[in-house]
Amino acid sequence: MIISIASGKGGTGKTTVATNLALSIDADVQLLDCDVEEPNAHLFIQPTFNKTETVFTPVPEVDEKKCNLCGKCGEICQFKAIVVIGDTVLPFPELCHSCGGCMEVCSEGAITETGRELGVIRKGYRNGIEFIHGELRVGEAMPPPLIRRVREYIRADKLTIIDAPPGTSCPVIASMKDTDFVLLVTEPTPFGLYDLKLAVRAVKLLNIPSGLVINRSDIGDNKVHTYADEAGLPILMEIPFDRRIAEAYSRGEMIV
Amino acid sequence: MKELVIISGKGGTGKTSLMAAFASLDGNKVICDADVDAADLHLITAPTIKEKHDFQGGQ
Repeated sequence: MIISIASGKGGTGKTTVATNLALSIDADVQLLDCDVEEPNAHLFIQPTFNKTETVFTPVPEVDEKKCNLCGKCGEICQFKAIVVIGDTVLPFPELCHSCGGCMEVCSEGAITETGRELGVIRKGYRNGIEFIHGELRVGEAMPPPLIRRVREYIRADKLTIIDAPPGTSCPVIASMKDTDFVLLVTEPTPFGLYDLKLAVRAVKLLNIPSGLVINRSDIGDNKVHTYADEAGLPILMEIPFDRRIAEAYSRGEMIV
Repeated sequence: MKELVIISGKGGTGKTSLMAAFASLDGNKVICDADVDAADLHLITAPTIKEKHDFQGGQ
């Protein structure tokens, strides 16, 4: 079973819920921190890391001596990551989505594979939790390839919790896709509600069942509750705005 | 024109709130919400929409 924890809005408590949920469950648990731009879960879980690997994605390299400037590589590329300009071929590895199309269509064998560094994956263990996270290389524009590599560590015989990034675009979709349940974490404020509605749209597109955790539930207004009722989104838990929780969090400690 | 960018790393630290405070200051200014994933600034500043355009990227 794979549960992803998402929100729309940043700072609502995804990592707080993900880490404390992982610690509370009395079973073989994996916690995957897929917020590869800013992984924070390790600050709370404090796993002992036992594996670190640098991961790469394939991008094209052109042997200009073999290239006949036919331009087929540029035509097939959806991302302008390889372009023929005049009498030269310019690959833009940072734009490449690693589809391999340019290599396929090149009749001269001028394009070979090299790698673009995505970042680092670290694996560790603590308190019965198998922990994996990704650290995106600073300057890497695309989180999803690294997120997909982190997700390769999912084991079918374990319960997997995925801490997703904030937002609603590609990195979040890559984290939520093909999971069994999305736990949405929100706060009862206008920002929280607005971004929650965006997140719900994304979850509905993926057709995954979902439920809601309302964090800091006794501040703000009750519009999130009203919206949840109207949208048929079950409220699974409400966490009060408790100073003790805030203090534990600010010290990097777990709540449970 | 001087450009000021507000970033944080961590979500939910108060970028939009701070931005709204700057927006309320006097003076000739352009304010831009670049959080295209989940733009919230308009919820506070409540601008009058004058133009709306579809955006298409890619080919």
